Amino acid sequence: MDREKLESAAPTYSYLRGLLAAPAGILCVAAALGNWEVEPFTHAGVMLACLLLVGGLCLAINRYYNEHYGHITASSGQQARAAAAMVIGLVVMIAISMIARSRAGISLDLPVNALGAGWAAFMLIGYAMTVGLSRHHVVIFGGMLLASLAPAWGGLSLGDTTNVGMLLAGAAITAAGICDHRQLVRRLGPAGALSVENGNARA
Amino acid sequence: MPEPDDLALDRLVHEPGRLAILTVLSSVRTADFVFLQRATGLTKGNLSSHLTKLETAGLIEIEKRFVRKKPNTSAALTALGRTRIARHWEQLDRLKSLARTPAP
Repeated sequence: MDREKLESAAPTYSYLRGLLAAPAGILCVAAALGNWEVEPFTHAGVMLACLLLVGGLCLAINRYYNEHYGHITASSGQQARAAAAMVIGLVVMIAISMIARSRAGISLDLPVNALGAGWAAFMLIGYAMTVGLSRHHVVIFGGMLLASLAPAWGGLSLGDTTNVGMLLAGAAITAAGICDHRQLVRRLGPAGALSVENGNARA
Repeated sequence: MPEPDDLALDRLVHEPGRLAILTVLSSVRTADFVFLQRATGLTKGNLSSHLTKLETAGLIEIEKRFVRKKPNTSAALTALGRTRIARHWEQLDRLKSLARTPAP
């Protein structure tokens, strides 16, 4: 019996519902395209439709997970840890964005992708403080952090850099979400009817 | 040398299915039937039977409700349940360390 695996099954479950990240990724890409004035994302109606689509997808995916994998309520400690991770991650993200390259007075105007770096740092802190970093988190968000901090973005305007950062963020969240979902399937089994015949405790 | 009673295992908790259920529940506030079935690998019948035994013994509380017109069962450890599962794992750890201690 693997005690650690049993004890970690529930705390990690919320974070491994990775398909929920896909709609967020779509939203990031749509926002970047809208900023670049790519048709039809310049129209408010289209963006509203994207929002509604994303909302509908989130609800459907959430229902999928609840029906096939169940539902848990995190303990107070886990909720506090998640809240702390969110706050710390946000502070770091905003600090990096404002200081590295922004229109703020304190900006160092470095030739980096501040949004990309800030977002990657936010995700790395979030995962590290809650469920721990998996290999794919390190590769995806660590890679995004390094690429964003590379001093090669000076040729792009601040707006273009931000939009590329949003595209990178959308792609990274989606890729990490798919990997998280695969990890969930490895741990808890594929979706579909639970076997009635399986009488062996998985642990 | 520890007394025999010090090494006695909690028979209600020690059953593998119930031990798995209680261990999963020890790390969350509540978990529903589907999740417990996924995490423990038990069949519906086995899981249901174990949950009933644990509820009867006062180690868990069960809440039944309807979600989208479908029955939904969720379970949570009671204070007694938390104490018993923690004590049981401590007992198992003690037995493991005793087993590793070389004989005199």
